[in-house]
Formats: sequence, structure tokens, C-alpha cells
Amino acid sequence: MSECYGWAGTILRVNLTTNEITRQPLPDEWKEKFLGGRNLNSKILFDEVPPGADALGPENILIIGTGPLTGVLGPATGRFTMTAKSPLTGIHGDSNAGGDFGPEMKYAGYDHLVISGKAEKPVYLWIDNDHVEIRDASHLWGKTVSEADKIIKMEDIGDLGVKTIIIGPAGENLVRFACPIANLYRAPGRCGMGAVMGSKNLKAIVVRGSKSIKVAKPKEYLEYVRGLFTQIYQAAIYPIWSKYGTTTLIAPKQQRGEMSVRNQQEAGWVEEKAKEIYGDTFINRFVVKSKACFSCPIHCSHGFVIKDGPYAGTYAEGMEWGSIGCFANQLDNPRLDSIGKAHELASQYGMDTMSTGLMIAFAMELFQQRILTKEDIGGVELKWGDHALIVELVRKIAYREEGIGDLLAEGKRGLIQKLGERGAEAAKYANQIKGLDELTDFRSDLGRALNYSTSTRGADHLRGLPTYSIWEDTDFKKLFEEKYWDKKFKSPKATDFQAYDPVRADIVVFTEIVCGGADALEMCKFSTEWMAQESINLTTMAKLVTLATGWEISTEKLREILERGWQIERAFSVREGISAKDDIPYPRSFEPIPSGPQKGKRLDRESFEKLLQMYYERRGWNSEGIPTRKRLESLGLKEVADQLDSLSIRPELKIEPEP
Amino acid sequence: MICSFSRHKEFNPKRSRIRVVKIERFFLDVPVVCQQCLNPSCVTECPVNALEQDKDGIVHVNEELCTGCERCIEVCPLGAISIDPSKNVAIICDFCGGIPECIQWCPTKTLEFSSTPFTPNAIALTAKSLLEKWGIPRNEYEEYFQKFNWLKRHSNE
Repeated sequence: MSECYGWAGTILRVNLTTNEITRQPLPDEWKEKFLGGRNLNSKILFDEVPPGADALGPENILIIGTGPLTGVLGPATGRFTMTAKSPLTGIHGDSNAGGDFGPEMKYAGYDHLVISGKAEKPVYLWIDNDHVEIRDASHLWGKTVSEADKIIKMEDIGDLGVKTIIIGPAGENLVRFACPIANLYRAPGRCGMGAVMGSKNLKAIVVRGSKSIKVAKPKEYLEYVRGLFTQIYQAAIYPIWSKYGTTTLIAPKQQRGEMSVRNQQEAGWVEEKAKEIYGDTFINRFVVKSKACFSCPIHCSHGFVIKDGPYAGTYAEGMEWGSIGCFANQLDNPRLDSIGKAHELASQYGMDTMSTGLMIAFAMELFQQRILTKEDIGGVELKWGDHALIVELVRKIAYREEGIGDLLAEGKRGLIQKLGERGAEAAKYANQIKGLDELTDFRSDLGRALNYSTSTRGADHLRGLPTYSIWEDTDFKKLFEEKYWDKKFKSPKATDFQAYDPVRADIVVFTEIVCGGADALEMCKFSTEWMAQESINLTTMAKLVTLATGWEISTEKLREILERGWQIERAFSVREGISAKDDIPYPRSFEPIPSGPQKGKRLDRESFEKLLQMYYERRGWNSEGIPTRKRLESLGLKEVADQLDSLSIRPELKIEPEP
Repeated sequence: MICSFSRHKEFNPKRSRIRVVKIERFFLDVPVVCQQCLNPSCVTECPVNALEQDKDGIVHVNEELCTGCERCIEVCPLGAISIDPSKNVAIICDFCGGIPECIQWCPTKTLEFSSTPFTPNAIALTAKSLLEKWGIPRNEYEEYFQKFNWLKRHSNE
């Protein structure tokens, strides 16, 4: 085989039903059309999981993807994406994480790992360079993530340096929003990838790699990378990111009035409570150490320890604003120590902190509205801010404890279904789009609203949320170039967050593409233009790929590659019945914000639908939000168009015929 | 990574002469690298005399003589030696001839040149005192230290 640069050159395939282990050379056509990471994962998922497949059945597959820059020193390039049909949303699902599992897998010689079928009994996968083995995991089943990790490292393998992805009891018990945990604390949290592993009886994936990766133009590549590191260090935001990570966003969110309180009944919290969860509070009270992912200069994560009070003895790595917010303001719970405990337990049980907190918020509001009663949930009284109960609920959900645990483990849609006749009333309070839920109130920012609506995995900020509102509306703005987005899009409407203007759709498509670029290369979005800074933009990404792989890739070509992935993700979900109706945000979005700095703001249904149409037009979708044959064929995706055409989906959803 | 790259023009942490030993459970990271012992046991214990210390204290590996037996790894009090997975010979930090690349690339300036003499187990003591300072319960980390004797044996063997 000719020398491979950037990529490792191999896809490892493991069939857990037949125990077959095969190695597929990474096809040049796939590199060229999809690059890698999430982008290529999405293509493999579309090709290999049939429409209507049971997400928790053996016909679903689980893909782990790295990119051509993984393991070759670029800034913040240590991530990996897990992709499968989501058991939470029923559509395209994926989630990514940092740490150093991705690079280790690449050093073992694999760009992507595709796991299919279902093992008869609990197993784990041991990948030691060329040696790949499906091992018995009966001794690990039922264990928490850290218990299993310890047995694997200390007893089974005898090496502290191996890298693990492990599910806890939540994944084993098929909690719909269970997630695997990498490096003990790194969660590809969203979309229930842990339940997919559980459904396959796959407890863990363990990897050790000692192969080298080369780049095509070593000298130029190194110089270029050195320059990028320098740029990152020089950015005004650098000292802030590297000290606080995402916890720095909490204060500006409160200032701007987009902090969702009590399942988004209010936007903006009581100041005394908000202060209890600010970045400074977290750093000063609990943090003992900064932590970085592989090859990252930003080191935004933290080791934290709680030394006193009812949660003394709690320690873990984290926490992000996402975890904190879902257990704090959303539940009206200012006790940061209890949030630390909930976060630690979620890491141990393997459960998405965001969906867990938001699920509890949903249940609490249903209880407040008397839709959910004590009888439904085993006599528990759900009270806002009851921190001891919140912590206890994390455990009950993970173990699907009879009554409330089992009920909440089904996710919002599952709960609505179980409520029978009360379901329709309950659905009014289910803040989710296409089955996925989000933390931040978007009624004051149409860009955020549009992106949550169009995101291919359901509402989610990491799919290309335009980040600009925080930069423009708060004290944060002094850290960034003023009116960056207005200048970039040559329109003062860019930062008029209430304007139903076509530029809104332009920006969202753009930020979705930038985030798609980061995901295809498995870079962290923190160092990209997504954060309103020039340092790593699409041009930079294209240049990095060119120097690392030796494949000449222009910015335009990169955009096309990323567009392809987005279309395929949408097509997967269309195949499952998704259309324009599913892009409409949840009912509360159309009610005015009752108080705070953004009081009175809400989405206007008719105008928002028009905005969606503008977005569809830019993506080349018809008015039903279905990718057109013309668009798909222009991207070389004829087979995707054929697939959509051949389906017996409702006639009005059919992709439009050739003109 | 910069270490393996500057030597071999390829990226591979396991070809690097500096390693970061981690106990992920306690978010502990300890960079380990040759500290240039006076009268180093890796040199004296090498069965084929492949290791030699020069006048600046740097230990050099004669790759033609080295058999990859790992004796030096066993006797190194720091666990600062490992085996190059490509060539199957011992690799030891030679300070890049005076301007170590790792120091230049370290984002937090954690790495520095220092003439402070080290004592065997210094790193273990530092690691343990950190965990103690952070407030991690002793019974939870002690067994990692006992089980692994990890200062000597952190490598991918």
C-alpha cells in the first residue's frame, strides 16, 4: 500500500453477532467526498442502517470516527464522533467528545471503527494495534464507569495508559439518553449512544496504539501549526477560555436574559441564585486543576473536588455550562455542590447531563401543572430546587427504578406516550425539537432559534448555533472584534437578533458549515471561527488538510464536502419521516418571555416559517424541507436522491421531479 | 508529539522521549523525562553496554548495541525510559542538544530546565502530595500506586 499521510488508512469493522473482524482500506473516494470524522460517519450510517431500523436492535450500527488531523499536533484536534441511529430521537444521531481516545485509536491504525450486530452476552472490544479481540465482559456488567475502567486497566490489561470508552448502568439499562464515557469523564453525551452500546451488549471499547502518523509536508505543516498556536495564545479571549472554559458563559447569559429557569418558564434568574453558579464561584470553591484534551492549548476542562457539606468526597472532571445549567437554573437549584454530585453520578452511570437535567425539569413542570401526579411516580413529590431529590433522581433514572426512574428514563417523548390521554397536554411543556432538548432560551435570538430548528440531530448548540448574541449584547463583547458578524455578512441586520432577515439564514448555514468542518476534522469548535474569531476558519482548515494529507483542498471544495454531510444527515432523518413540520420549535417558543431583560420577546410563527423557507432555499431543499434531487446530484449524491425517491414516504414529501 | 516529530518526522507519543503518565480517575498528569542521575543505573545495568553518559549528563543509546531487553526500563527510578515501538530500542531524552522542543511547545509553561537535584520517588511523592492536597480520599488512590509501581512501569509494555 502506498504511504498514507494524515489518515491512518483503515476502517476497522467488528460484527458482534458473527464475531467477524475485518479491515477495510479507507476508500480514496470517501476521503475525497467526505474527509472523515462526523462527516464520513454520517455517510456510513446512511448507507448501512436501513430505514425504520430499531435503534436498539442489532440492525443499528455504531460508528466511531476520527479525522485526517487527529493525532498530528494541530491545535485542539483530539476529538472523535460516535454516530448511530438515535434511540432518543429516532433519527440521525451522533455525539462527540475530547480526551485522547480518538488519537489513540488512530495510533492503533484506524480512522473509523464500525460496530454492527449484537453480542449474545456482555463483551468488550480490545484493540491493541493489529490485535483486535472481542472479550467477555460478564465481570464488568453492572459496574459503574470508573469501577469497570479500574478492572480493565489494573487487572485485565495491566496498563494504566490504555484508553477506554465505557458505558455504565444507564447504558446497560437502555436509558434513552445514556451516553458512553471516554477517559472516565469525556462524554459524547447527546442522542443516547450509550443505550446503543448497551443494546449491543457492548460494555467497553479499549484501545492502545503505538503506530506513527505522518504528514505530507512536514516542514510547512509544522510551521503552519506553530503559527496557529501563536494566534490562539494571542487572542484576547485565550486567558478566559483557558481559566474558566464554558463556565465563563454563565454570567453573560444571565446578563443577557437567556438563562432558562424552571423548564424555561422564565428567562433570567434571581441574581443571588445566579451568582452561586458563576464561573468564578466554581473555580474558587471546587476546582483543583486545569485539564486539556489531547493536543489542546486551551485546557478548558477542570478537575474539581468537593470537600465539605453533604456532598463532601465528590470529585470528577468537568463541569461545563451545559451540565451546570441543566441542573441549576433549569431546576431552580443554586446549590453548586449538588450539581457537582449530579455531574459525578452522571459520569459514573453514563448519562447525558443535559438530557438528564432537562428531563427532570420537564417532569417537575408537569408535576407543577398537575399533569403528572404523585401516584404516577411512586409517591415522590417533585419540588423545584430540591437538590437532594435531584441527585437521587439521577440514580433512579440510571437504574430505571420502578415508578419515576423507569418513567423518566424513556425521555420526553416516551413519557408523553406513557401518559396516555394526558400526553397532549404534557407535550406543551416538552421543550425539544426533533426529540432533542436544549438549555438556552432562544426567544431573544432568532439565529439561535433557527439553528436549533434545523440542526440535523435535533435542537443542539454545537450544531452551528450563531454565537454572536453573547458577544454583542454583553460585557463579553470587549474580548471580540466589534460587530464581527455585521462586517462579515455586510449587513447591520446580522446582529439585529430580532430581524427576520435573509441574512439570518445565511449566517446559520455558515455557522453550521464551520461546525461541520470542525466535526469532520474532529477539532474542537472553541478554537474556530464559530467563536467569532478568525484564527481557525474554513480556509485554515482546508490548508491544514492540504499540508497534512497532500490532497489539495480549496475552501470551496471543503464547503462542498461539508454540505454533502449535512444533506446526508438530513436525508437519513427524512427517510425516517422528518419534514418541515418537525422543524417548528416547541409551543413555549411562541409565548412571550414573562420577565427579565428580554421580557416580551417571542417567536412569531408565520415569520419564523418564512425564515425556515429562506433556510431551505439556501440548502437546496423543497418547501417541505426535503433535499431536492437537483441539489443532491450537484453534490454527487445521486444514490441518496434515488433512495429518497424509492421510499414510500408520504407523497407530499417526495423530492421534486426533474424540471 | 513534538518530540517524536522532531526526531522522526512522524507523530507518535510512544516514540517520544517525554511521556505524560496519567491516572485519569484523579485527573492527574505527570510528565516524566530523564533527570540525568549521577551514576545512572540504566548505564551501569545495561547488559550490552549500549548506554553511555556524556560529560553533560546526557545518556546516549547506541542503537546498534541495544537489544531492547528493557533492563534499563526496570532500573530507572523515574520510568523515564521506554522502547521505541518502531525500532525496538531504548529511547532516552537528550534535551534536543540544549533547546528542548517540548519546553518550547508547552502551553502552560509547566516544563522547565532546572538544576534542582531530584531524589528517587520524587515524582511519586509529588503526585501523592498533590492528590492529598486536592482532597482525594487516600484509600482510593493508594492502590494505584501499589499495584503499578507506576513510576517504573508506565510504558506500553
